[in-house]
Amino acid sequence: MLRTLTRAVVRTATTSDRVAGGLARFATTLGQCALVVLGVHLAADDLDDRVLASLSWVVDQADLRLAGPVETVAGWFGRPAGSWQWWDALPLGAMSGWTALTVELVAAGLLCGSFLLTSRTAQPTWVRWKRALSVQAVVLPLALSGVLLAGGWSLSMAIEDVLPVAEAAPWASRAAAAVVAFAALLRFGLPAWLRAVAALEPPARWTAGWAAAVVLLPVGALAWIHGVPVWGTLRHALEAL
Amino acid sequence: MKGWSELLLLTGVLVACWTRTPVGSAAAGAVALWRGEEPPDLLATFSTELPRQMQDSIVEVLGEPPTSEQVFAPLTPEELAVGWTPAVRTAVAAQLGEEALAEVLALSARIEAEGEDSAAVEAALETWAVGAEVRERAVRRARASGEAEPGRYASHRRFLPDEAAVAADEAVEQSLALATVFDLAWPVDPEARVSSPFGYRFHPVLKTNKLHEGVDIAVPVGTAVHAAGDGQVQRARFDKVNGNYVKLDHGHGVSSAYCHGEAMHVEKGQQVTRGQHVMDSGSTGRSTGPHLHFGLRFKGRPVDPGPFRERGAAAALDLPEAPADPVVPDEAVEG
Repeated sequence: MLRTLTRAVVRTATTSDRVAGGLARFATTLGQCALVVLGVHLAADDLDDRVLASLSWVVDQADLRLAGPVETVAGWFGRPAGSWQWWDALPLGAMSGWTALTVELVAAGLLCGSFLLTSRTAQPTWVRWKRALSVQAVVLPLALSGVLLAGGWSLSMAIEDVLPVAEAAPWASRAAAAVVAFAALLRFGLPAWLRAVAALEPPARWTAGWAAAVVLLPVGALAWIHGVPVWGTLRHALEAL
Repeated sequence: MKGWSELLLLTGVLVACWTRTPVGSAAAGAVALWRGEEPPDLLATFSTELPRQMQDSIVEVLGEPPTSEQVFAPLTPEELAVGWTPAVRTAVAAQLGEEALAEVLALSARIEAEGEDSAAVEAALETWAVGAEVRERAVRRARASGEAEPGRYASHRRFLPDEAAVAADEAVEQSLALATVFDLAWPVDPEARVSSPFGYRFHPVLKTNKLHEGVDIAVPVGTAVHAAGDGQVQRARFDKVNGNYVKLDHGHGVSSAYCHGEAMHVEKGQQVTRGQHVMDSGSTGRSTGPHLHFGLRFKGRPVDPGPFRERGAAAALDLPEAPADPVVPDEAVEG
């Protein structure tokens, strides 16, 4: 009786595990896209701050250089000068937010599109990559790797935020978050990167992909700079030396 | 259990994407619309977006600022020990309540004693709002990402969980903005007559109803105009409307403007202290008589500086005597 019950439990567990695994593997591409979206957003959040700072500078310069001429022209038309200083009323916060959001959506679309319809098992080779050498072949792997690492960090922060704060062992939630992040990078990040690089085709011209690079370069750079949590640690280590 | 762990991992990634990115907000919005509910804001996951209602609430507080007696009441030894100013004490009480004041003060003392790099008041307010552990997490993340001053709120705010960031904004950003405003003084003698107050008025030159975004103070040409508070000169220039015009950035979204001056004594980018002589008043630009236009803005929105007039008397500034009979018509000038 006990043996029968044990067998039934084991069989159920094995079957359910197989079903769960099948479901997870079926939705692997979805997980890969989600990791990309998380990483791109971390970079876009930083981009938002930078766009806001740039817009503020532009408005300040416009005010400094254009206020006088605009007042003169407004005077010719008998209009109050203040009403023509359109830059004073610009909603800079919303403008930077929507710019960052647009860049984020385009970058996420380009990066997910680079592996979405490719073979899940394709492996890149050095020879194939050299044959595909172009702007795209250089920018895409670099940007995608930064974004995936940033996605892993964003996931670890999300996990850490939902875990109860263990005052006795604060490192426990950090360790759990790190384990999940590394698991996600190995399960989703690395295969997504391999798929994208393996799918690079020999280009008609070496400039192929320059338009996409305009979006992917800043996003990738910000992901590498602010989405990979090693630079601060490295700097502290260097300072300590 | 490999299959289950893979499914759990996938679920974690999807939930994080759903809750922390605009793509997730868009998906949540689609579901909300399908259910006939209000969709979430796509920009809510960006950290620089200051919720509009926060600005509204602070403008409301500014409409009825505390009296000079409240703002300039003597500090307790505990408050002095942690470097608080009367304005900080009043702002914290106005924003968070009297009960919170003692808690924030105790936290300030503890942080000061621990010798943390960042500003103790800022750190104490944030710790009060989100808890020490959550703040420490955000600081650690900012440090790991290479931020130059991870302890400062502005540097690590993006690493706070969303709800914590909103709570911290209310406690830190708004309290310090209020403290900045409460610390401002009147730029000329407070006895000088206000010839045109803040608000909608029939413009004497443009012949239309227009918001007067400041107050006009009747002072003769050459009267010394003092900085209302510590800050940095954002603009010091001449234009045909404002004449000689100085704008000061006091930090935390607070700025003040001084228009129609005869001569300016500061340059763009210069640091000034409260009470510093920044301009001589005059009647330049679109003005029909000698006066000072004094404007105050919070996060770019004009607020009435009028209620802060009495503050000047207690600001311990070396201000000149008010003129006996300033030559300014009541409704004279463009704001």
